[in-house]
Amino acid sequence: MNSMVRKEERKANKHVASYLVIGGIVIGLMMIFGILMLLQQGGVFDVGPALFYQFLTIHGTGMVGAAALAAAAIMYYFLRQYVDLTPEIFVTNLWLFLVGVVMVIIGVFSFEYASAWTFLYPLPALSAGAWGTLGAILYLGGMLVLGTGFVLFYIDAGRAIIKKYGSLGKGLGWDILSGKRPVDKAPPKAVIASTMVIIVNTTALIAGTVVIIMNMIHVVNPAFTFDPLLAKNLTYAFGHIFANAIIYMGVIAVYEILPRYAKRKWGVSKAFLVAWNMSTFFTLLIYTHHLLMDPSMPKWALIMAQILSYSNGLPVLVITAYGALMLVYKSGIKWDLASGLAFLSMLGWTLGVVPAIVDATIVVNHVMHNTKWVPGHFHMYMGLGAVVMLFAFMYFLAKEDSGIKENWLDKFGLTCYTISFLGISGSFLVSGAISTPRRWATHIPDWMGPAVFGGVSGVLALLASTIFIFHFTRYMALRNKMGSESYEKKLA
Amino acid sequence: MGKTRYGIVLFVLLLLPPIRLGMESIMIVHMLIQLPLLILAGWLTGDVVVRKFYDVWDRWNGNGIPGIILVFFITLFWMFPRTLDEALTYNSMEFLKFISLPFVGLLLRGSWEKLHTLGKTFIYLNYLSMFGLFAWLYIDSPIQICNNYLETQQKVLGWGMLFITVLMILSIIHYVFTDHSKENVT
Amino acid sequence: MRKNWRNKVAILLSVFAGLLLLYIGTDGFRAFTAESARTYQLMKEKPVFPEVTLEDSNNRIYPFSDFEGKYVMLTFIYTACADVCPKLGMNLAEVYEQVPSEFIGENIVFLSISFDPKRDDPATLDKYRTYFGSDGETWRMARIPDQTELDRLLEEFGVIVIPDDYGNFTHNSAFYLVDKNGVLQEVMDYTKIDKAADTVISMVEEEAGD
Ligand code: HEM
Repeated sequence: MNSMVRKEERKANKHVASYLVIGGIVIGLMMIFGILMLLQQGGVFDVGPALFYQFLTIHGTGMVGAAALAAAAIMYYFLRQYVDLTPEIFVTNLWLFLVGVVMVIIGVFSFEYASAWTFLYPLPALSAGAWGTLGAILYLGGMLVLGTGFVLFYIDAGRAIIKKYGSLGKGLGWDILSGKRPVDKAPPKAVIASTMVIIVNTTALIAGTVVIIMNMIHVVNPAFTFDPLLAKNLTYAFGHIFANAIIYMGVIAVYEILPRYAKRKWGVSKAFLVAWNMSTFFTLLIYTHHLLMDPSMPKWALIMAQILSYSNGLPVLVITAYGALMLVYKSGIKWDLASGLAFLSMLGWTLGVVPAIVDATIVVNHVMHNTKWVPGHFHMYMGLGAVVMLFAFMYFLAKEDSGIKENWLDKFGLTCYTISFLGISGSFLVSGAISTPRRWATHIPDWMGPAVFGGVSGVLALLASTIFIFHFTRYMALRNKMGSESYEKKLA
Repeated sequence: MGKTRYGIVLFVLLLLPPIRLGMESIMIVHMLIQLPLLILAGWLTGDVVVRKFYDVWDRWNGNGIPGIILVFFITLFWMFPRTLDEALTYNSMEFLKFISLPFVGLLLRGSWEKLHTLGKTFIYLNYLSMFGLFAWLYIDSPIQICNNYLETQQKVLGWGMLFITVLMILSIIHYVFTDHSKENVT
Repeated sequence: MRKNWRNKVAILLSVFAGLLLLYIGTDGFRAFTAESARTYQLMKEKPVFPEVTLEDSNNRIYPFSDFEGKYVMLTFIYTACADVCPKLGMNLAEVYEQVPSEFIGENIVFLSISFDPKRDDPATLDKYRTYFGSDGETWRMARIPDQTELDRLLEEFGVIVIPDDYGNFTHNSAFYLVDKNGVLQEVMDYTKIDKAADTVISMVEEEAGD
């Protein structure tokens, strides 16, 4: 029996590794576009606004897509240790991802479609002359294909959780919260987090599908016009939630990695369940708020909604960061890249939320909102939070699966990555503080300094990421070389 | 077989000119009652057909996927404002409607049960977003989409579809949050 | 596995058949409504403006062929209309503004045709035209008193007019551009003012350039 199980596991690891390496490489490539944008804004060279907006579109879409893909691999890897997932679906998702990405890229570059990844209606059609209907259709169609893959993946995971635990409610520990079952019978953290992601992302993807198709209809048939506010709200709901969910998938790696290194148990508490339920609920509330949003709402409601939409993850963050600290504190944990990155990601996530809350509280007077303060906040929590979780998991998997050694280069990468991303997001925040608007292709001279600084930091970040990915490909090559026989031996 | 008979009777009833024209004169009845009833007629007669051609059916539609794909496309086709419009203007379209929709019912009969939970859920969510989309389209469109129906009728249809969407959302929420641990989910 | 090949083929076939159905049913994913199908058809057929007699806001009576040698920018309206027609008129006025004045009246005339001849007599039209700044000369408003002629025109140009119980009509709206010989050249989205103006100007300019 054992050899069967192992063979299956080996295959699963291979798929997970493919996800990660594709995700990682795409993230690296997208960093190049990010650097180019900053250098353009910094006045180092001038590629013109058209190309800038193509870069912006591809960078935003690509980053979110690739990070979500890699994070899905984390979710799959750990969730399948508790429930019965379907490998074919996991593979299908990867293929659909690749097809979708190709469509998006062709759409953006060949047909000069660039509406920025949140493709706010009615942008795609308005500039139909410049972008071309076909480009818009390819881009939007690519997004649909991507979405289909993810929907399949989440349905499968939801099905598996329902099968094992009875319902998604139980996956979130409702029966424990209601006191029907003791806390020690709670589902594992990976299951809880996955359940949350399944709920919010399926909802986001359905809303996304509707908006995307609506946009497609509008592109083909401009006489159809839709309520732009509703379109915008649906789009934002889709984009925000899907992007936020990356971190909820990624954090599973932290939950699983840190206890192993600290050799302590990180149990599920009632507070933990409450936090995840609250975040689920808040995230869903954002939809309703987006759907019903109208300018005549009382001001306090708008402020509440704003805070909510930025801090829906706060309960989870607090409970996780606190848990991680307690776990590590005086545990004599062994630090290497996996544990170090996992811990760093918690710091980055926490740090990244601070500017978000600052933003949310003053956004009402519209000072910061459309400045680079916003990318400052999400680059911090994406770059130093979510993406770091992905890299942490890469190192973890490599070690688990092949025993490959890390060297000084990897350690250098860790330092370099931390500093450079502080530089990037710091430069965005500074730009925001001096009122540099976001999404502008050219900056006035006063705004150029931080942009150039960010660009240089970006190069360092790219270097560090290359080191990480290089390590991971070395592991993949190694495990390919190892025949299954020696692999068995190693495990035995 | 009782079911089959009901199916045929239903189909004939729907064909009767007063019923047919009456239903088609109101947009929402046309789309949300006449079309589904046609599918139902096909579904009721489906049993016999599927059993009769069991071998062929099993070979070509073993996992139900080809059948459900056809169902999906044909129903999508009939949700377009244009097809609805043209069914009133052209006899050939009307004919196509009375053939293709019972066929959908038949396909459904022979495919749905064969799908796994995954496939069923996927199809369900697809229809959910389709109804949501068309609800939005029919309610929000500032132009008259159908030449044979007034704009107000179009809005009524939109609200009808929104109602269906909401029902579908509630029912899936109900499904995923109630306990299934005692059932055998495949 | 072996048993499965038929199933796989069937999947491919059904996807193909489904897409084909949608493709044919929408003229190649172009026309999802009867309205867009109609426009698409019109642009392909390019019908000729049928011979009709107009009666305009200045009580003049003349055949449409009087406009020969000039482009005519047309819309179809009725004055009792409270929703689309005012918008249509307003947008047409903006297009009118954008066309360089040397062409106006010389190379192109604007014409709003009423499909409600019973109520829209010359006096009503004369009042109505002032709302949009039409001068009654280079932008005329006219009715077609003869119902059969009117019906024929509506039919040819694919204008669908459904009366309701309250004296209103539901109708489709667009800008129509007819060339010097009375041949329909363009059916344009009346909400896209700039685009329509560009099309009109470039056509007229090309003409004037010869
Ligand atoms: C080397 C690292 C990176 C650099 C240099 C960089 C640079 C940039 C720049 C210059 C912008 C445009 C800012 C503006 O003017 O609005 C941007 C936008 C964005 N970036 Fe990055 N970025 C990096 C990494 C990342 C990562 C890791 C993610 C997410 C996983 C990410 C996600 C985004 C998103 C979602 C946008 C918004 C696009 C939009 O406004 O439509 N970036 N980035």
